[in-house]
Amino acid sequence: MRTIALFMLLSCFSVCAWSHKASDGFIYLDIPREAGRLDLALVDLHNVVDLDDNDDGQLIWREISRHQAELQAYLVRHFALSAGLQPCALHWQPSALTHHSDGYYLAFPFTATCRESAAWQINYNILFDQDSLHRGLVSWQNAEGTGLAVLSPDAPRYVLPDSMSWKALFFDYFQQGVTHLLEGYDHILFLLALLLPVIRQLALASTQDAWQKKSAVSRLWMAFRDVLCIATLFTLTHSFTLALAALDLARPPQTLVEILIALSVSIAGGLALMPRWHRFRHLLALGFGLIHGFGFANVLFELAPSVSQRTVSLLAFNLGVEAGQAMLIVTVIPVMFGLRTFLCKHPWILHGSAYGIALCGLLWTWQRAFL
Amino acid sequence: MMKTKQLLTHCYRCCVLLALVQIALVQPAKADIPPLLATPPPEQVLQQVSLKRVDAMPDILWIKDNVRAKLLTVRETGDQRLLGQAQQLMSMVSDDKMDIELRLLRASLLQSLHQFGDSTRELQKILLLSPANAQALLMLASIQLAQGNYSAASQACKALLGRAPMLISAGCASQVAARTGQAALAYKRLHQLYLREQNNSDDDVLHYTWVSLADIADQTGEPSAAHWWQKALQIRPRDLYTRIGAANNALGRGSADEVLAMTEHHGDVDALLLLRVQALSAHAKDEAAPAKDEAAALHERLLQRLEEARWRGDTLHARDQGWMLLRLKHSPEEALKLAQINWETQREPEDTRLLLDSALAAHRLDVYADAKQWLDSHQQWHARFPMPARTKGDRS
Repeated sequence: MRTIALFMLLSCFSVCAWSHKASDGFIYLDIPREAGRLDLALVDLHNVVDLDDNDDGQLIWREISRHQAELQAYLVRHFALSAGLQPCALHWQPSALTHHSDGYYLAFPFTATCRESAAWQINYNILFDQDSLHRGLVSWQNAEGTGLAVLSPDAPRYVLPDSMSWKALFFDYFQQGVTHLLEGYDHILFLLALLLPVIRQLALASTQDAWQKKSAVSRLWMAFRDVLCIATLFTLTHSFTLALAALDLARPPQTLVEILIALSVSIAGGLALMPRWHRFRHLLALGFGLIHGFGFANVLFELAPSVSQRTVSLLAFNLGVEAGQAMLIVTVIPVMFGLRTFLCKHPWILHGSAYGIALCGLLWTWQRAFL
Repeated sequence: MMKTKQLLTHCYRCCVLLALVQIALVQPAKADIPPLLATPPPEQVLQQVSLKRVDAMPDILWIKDNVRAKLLTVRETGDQRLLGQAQQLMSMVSDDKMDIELRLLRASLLQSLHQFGDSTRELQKILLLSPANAQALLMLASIQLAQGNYSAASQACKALLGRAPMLISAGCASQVAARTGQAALAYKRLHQLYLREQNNSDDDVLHYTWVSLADIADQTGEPSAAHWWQKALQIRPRDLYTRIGAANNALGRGSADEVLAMTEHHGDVDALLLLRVQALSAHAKDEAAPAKDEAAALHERLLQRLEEARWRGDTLHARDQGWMLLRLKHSPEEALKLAQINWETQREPEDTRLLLDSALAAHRLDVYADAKQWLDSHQQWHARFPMPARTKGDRS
């Protein structure tokens, strides 16, 4: 019986590779300052320049510092920046030690002199002839924003994006914001629940003599005034927590956020049934708006977990959510305004809607908490 | 009621205030640049190096030896650099110069890189040239098993009969049987055969058998799993699969001390680090600062690795990344996305467990139900698979 090679046997238990820090080089570029830094792992550098002078299997600082010139010569051959068609002159500074998640790296700071003011291009060919899984991880910063990129044997060049790209990013995230609000039934129901008392007041007010004496514009303004206030308060607070969460400054557990959003829907629906509590609807918008902001942020984060131009994307997404909200209000309020007499004669419609919203909220709360 | 003008004034002021706060909070997002360190003492050891550099153009024999050595070391250290280097060495050999052994090495390398389709094709080529090749059959069986193709795995295991040591072919068949509704019977048969053949088997075969028994016992929740993992770890202390399996088993039993002992000095392997963080967190509840401090430091390191892996676009380790997202970052939706991507190509019990756990955490009962349906179609279950709260106690 043929012996099966040990490594074949070992390989047969788990076909999956275990996650271990891979071989990465880190390239940090600050374009306005025309400066950058290249970090490479000591173990990787040893692969290109023999740093272990005494072959004892250990690298000490004295051995590494002795080979600075050779290492820089290697970098000159395998790393380059250009602007337009012209190469940039790189002025390497003395290297220094730094630390990444898997150990010590050597950092090679540099400044670049580029003749043209065109977009920079990186040419990276470090270690690709030794390790096809090595990657160059780029973090760049220019006047418009920041970005991340990956260089590989199949894609050893990268052109930094030009200043026009933020427009496409803006419209993309604006659209995402609108879509998310219009597809977020919990957010929509919460807003509607806040608007129900306003609609009820409109319906009651329309029967009074004072109302009849007002002009059409005044009547419409009365309809929108309170709605505007509630929507503004909701907007302010959810924008705040959306920003906090999207920037990773505060990220409560997603499950808890979803449960609280569902709870807010049922509370808003319940309060819509109690006229005595209608004066608290502004506080409700203010308070629960904070929670809904965290909910929106989860979507934003899923869209772009490592988004570079966060200022633009956050602003665009926020404006998209507001636009979606405005579409909802602009659709619902005029319709309700037009039906105010009918609603006054049939109050069960508004009551039924409030009950329905409250029950939906309770069902979602139960599903999210216990299933 | 507040007058309109006053109301709008208040709203305007709040608006300006929050806008200012937002502007202050918004900073350009980029990767954090690690600071430069002070120049260390000249004699300070900074890095252990055991990798030999290639200076001259190697010959095929040298390539074979080196690729084999690198693949073995990968099983023991998980070091991805070695896979990249092995891949680079293999690329120096043209297809017409590949003998069976090199093809087997290439198949193993492709399997390690999760290129299961290419690895399977390579193995099928080998079997066309050498139909009785036990190593190719065993590797093919393991890939099919990992991908959930149990009929194909079963056929490959059957073809091993008479071509590999009895315990190897029986171990192969037992693992397939365990994942297709016959776990208890598979364990019993393999154990009986082991008792008969143990004295005629070398360490490699014994290790394979013990790990197979441990895996199946883990699946059924048998206490004997710990015993088999320990035996396997004693004979092959450097094998990562065994160490991770044993540590997982210990964590499941609530034995944090054992996990800490098994995961010490393995700071490079994320799966072991994650288990260590969980064990330290359990310890930190009872004791205090040292366990908490170490758990916090490891937690941070793992999150940093996770961010770098995502920066890299690395999907090779979707399972480990998924667990990190679920257990460290508490982001079940993100974990679920990765789990689903991972499950498309591999369906080992830990892959399925990640999918089920993240589906429940993300309240995606539809995803859970689909996975459960697939498991039911193969009559498969594992003691560590989670169940939704309402169906606890109702396994069927």
